Amino acid sequence: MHFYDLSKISVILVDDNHHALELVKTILRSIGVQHIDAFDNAESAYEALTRAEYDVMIVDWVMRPVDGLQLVSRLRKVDSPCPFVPILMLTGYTQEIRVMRARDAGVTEVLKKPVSVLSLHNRLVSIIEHPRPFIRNKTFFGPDRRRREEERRGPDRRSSETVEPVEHTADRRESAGE
Amino acid sequence: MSDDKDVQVIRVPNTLKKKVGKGRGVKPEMLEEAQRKVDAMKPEYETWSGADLTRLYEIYEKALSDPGQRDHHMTDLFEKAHNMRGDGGSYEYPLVTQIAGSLSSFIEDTEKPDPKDFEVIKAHLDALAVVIGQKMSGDGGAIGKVLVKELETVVKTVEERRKPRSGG
Repeated sequence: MHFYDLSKISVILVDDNHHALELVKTILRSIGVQHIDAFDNAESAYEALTRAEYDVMIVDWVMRPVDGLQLVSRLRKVDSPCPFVPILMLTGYTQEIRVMRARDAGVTEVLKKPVSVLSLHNRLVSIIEHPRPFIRNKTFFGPDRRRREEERRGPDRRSSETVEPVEHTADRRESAGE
Repeated sequence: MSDDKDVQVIRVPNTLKKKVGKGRGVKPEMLEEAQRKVDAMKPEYETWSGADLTRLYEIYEKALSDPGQRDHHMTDLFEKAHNMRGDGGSYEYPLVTQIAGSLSSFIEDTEKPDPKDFEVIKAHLDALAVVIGQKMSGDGGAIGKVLVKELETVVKTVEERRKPRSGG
């Protein structure tokens, strides 16, 4: 039986609610994540993202002055330091329309608060095991929002070009900037 | 959609999977340890949720007494309630999540609060005070059910009152 070793991944965590930040850090550490950089505002997190490479970002939605959604939109832009970073958005919002807005901004997965050990773990598993391909069209760049739809409807009928990837940060920038 | 022709699909290498190795999750013992750590945070939560509630009352009083800065205070009130909604359930206080959630949704739907709206907000704060003060974790039993039911009725009454205005 094999299990993940999360000691080699680095996570950036952004939440202006100090208690929520501590909770998520506690869970991540307990499941083996050793490298966690935590920030209580979007600007500092963005700064950090320009300096270091992270494997996953976990970000809250409601923050001031820049909220989580604005941060995600900025990261899914041409000049982003990490356009392809998997982003897990935490939110107290429960309405489906909010989830759709988060996906439109470029979020990979949404996790509704309250956070539990299992819900956070399972979202991480989902990000690791089922990475969404990225989609670029005239109006959107981000993880494929249609995954669930495709699962219901069958094969993808979009005429598309598949680009084989890009492992280094510099290459990522170039690819996103096309 | 014609836009479909312009879609580019980019498959990024799954470096995360390479880093974490085989399997589909961490060891169950790690999850149990994480749960133990979260459970150990519950007494702390019970302390700071009381402080959160005190802060909610303070902001409510300011919103009530300072019409010039009301929008600002209502935003503060929303954010505090929204955070409490997100926190409660993590520490076995789903009632805090439910009541604070009802409060934050109500504030979000209230453009210019009138005296009746402030009564609804106050009813939520008082309900939170009962739950937090009496340490009513879980569903709160019979008292919890009554609290939630009463709040639902109060909110519904105010929402019904708003309908003719928005429809007219």
